[in-house]
Amino acid sequence: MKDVLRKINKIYGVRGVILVGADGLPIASDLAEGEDESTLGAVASSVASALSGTLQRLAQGQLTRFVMNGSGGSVVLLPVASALLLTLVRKDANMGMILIELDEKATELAALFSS
Amino acid sequence: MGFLKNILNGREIGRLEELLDSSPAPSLFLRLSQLYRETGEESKAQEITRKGAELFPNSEELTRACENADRVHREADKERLRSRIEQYPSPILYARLAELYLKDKDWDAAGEVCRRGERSYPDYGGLWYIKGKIALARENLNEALQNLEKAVSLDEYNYNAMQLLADAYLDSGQIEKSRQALEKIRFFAPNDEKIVEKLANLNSKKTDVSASSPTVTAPVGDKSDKMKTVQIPGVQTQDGKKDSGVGTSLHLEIKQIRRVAGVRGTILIDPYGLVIASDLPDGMNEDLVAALLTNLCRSVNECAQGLTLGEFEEGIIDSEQGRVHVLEVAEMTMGVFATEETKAGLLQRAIHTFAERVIDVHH
Repeated sequence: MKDVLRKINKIYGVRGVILVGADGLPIASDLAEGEDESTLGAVASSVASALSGTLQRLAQGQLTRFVMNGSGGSVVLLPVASALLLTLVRKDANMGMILIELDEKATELAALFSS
Repeated sequence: MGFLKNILNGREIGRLEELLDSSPAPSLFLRLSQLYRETGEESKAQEITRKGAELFPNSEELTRACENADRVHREADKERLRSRIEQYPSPILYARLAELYLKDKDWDAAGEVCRRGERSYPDYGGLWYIKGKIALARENLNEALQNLEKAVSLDEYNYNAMQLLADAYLDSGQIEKSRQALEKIRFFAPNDEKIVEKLANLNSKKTDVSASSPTVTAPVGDKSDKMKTVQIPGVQTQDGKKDSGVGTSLHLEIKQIRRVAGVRGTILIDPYGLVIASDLPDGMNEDLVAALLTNLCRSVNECAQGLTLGEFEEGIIDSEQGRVHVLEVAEMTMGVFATEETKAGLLQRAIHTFAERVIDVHH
């Protein structure tokens, strides 16, 4: 898993990645120094919970991906098996390319979960 | 002379910024802020003061400077809003203006703005919510309860009003009513940690005898069955919606977004969680959608801060049933329901065109 996360972190524009359980506890990560694993884990779980509740009320089914753009950068949240993959992205990144690569890597991670 | 002074100020600003990096001190922040003000960079001056106050929360001078800067900013905002009300009156502008007076503790002026707004827009819940806040600030609990009850009767999904009402019930000893109000919020803000915590606290207290209505877990009324989930079966526009007068001028424009292939509906929500304009598919409860998206934005915004992403700008939520774009437009929230096949570029263009119109009308 660590290898896949390292590959994600090498994608141009990505500045960190973490895989967390549904409870928000970190499973694996490849983050820059100064990034706090447990904070990111808690935030990922909190966002996913808010999104799932809203989607359920809106009868929109399960969450498949969430991209959030802020004034200082973006994050991509992908459900992978029973876990969540949170990727931190720089403001100037090519999001289209990153999303394609992330989908591939998420499939790799899902395969690792099921093996 | 002014030119020379600007050069000298520029040099001094550079020197102080270097000093602040190496050894920050309240007096340096104050001096730097003053220099920015002298060079006409008011927003930069405010930023420096705020940064200093955050770093030195015990500095009385910085706290005072920060409050003064906020006051100056509010005065400018008031002037802008008064002028906008003259040109393009809307209840949101009245509510915002009243809230600015409320922040300055000028309760009479805040109340007067609400009354003026109410004369033209009696069915706008946002004004009743502000009136509730004014009454609470004046410690008039009975009046606050009346105003907040009116606000939630006009919009049962008004998160802010409902939460304030729950607190007011609690303050007046009506624990069961407070619990019921929180349960209602939980319906449209299912994972709101603050509400869950408040409910847990209340549930550990004794039930009072003043509440007469039974416990509810969903808002009551003839819509309650279909509100359990919001169906999006077709693309027919919903007609006969209530209009508090906020979005009349935008109802036609919002329909333009549906011209982009794959777009199923759009909604624009004011800072108080109330619908300004919507073009949602038949069967979708616009008030509930507004409440859900407002609450989602609130959660996501908090998370954006936790992730050091700065201010939340836009979220794209993909699910099994399609895509929801949520974005901030001039302190308002816009939600667009679309299919995953919708061309992102075309949708962005339509959204931006509409957003510009919103800013023209409401900002």
